[in-house]
Amino acid sequence: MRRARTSVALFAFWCIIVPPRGILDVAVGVATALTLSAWTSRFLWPQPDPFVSTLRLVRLPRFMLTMGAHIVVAASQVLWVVLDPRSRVAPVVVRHTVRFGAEGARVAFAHAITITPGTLALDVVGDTFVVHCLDERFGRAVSDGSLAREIERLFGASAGP
Amino acid sequence: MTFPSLVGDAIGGALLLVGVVFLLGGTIGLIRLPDLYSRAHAASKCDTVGACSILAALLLLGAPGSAGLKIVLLALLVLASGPTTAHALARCAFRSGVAPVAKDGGEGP
Repeated sequence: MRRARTSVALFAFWCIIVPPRGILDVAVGVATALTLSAWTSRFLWPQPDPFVSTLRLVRLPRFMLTMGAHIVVAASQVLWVVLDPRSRVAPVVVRHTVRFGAEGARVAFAHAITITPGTLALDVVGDTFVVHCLDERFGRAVSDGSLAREIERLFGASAGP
Repeated sequence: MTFPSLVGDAIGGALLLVGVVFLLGGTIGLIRLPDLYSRAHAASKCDTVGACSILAALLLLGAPGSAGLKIVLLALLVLASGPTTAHALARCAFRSGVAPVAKDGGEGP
């Protein structure tokens, strides 16, 4: 059932991006959607369907706007580091543990880490997030808990060190 | 040319320029930064913002209705897939034992 839903969503996306002009276009679109959904079903949807409450849907646009602003700041920060000849890159790897109730919250937190200035989620092992920071000071933005609280507000999951 | 379209063209042109600067910065970052993980920062963030900025510019510079929807969908796809791809690459490298060049001497998986 999930594979069918994924295939339909992918085919709809295909139809918007490449409006089919003949049977060949439709056939290529269907084949691509089926292949991608079959290939991704092994790792994209290994868990049961997450419960998406109305409150979460209402909070989602605000969260996406916040993350959109974060990525612009993050990209500007990287641009500054790359283009400033005086800047010295001193990367560190830090481990940060946060307990989330929902699997989706863990995924969102890892994604949020990656679009936070100077940090990149390397791995997630249970509740521990391995984070690569371009400099030690960037790691503090993850460990001060503000990002986890943002995710907690969205998912309503308990977050704590 | 009307005033609103002139303003739209000016903002579109500025967004194009911003996009080019970010994409160029991301490319320089790939050369300048010391290891795969640091380079992933440049690739994921600068390229995502650069591509979205150029897509926003195309939207402002007179994309017709259906093309506008395509541009918005593509921007959302780029926003979601850029950081995810960087994380997937970094995770794969980290689990394969590629040690980060770190100030504290590096750390394995």
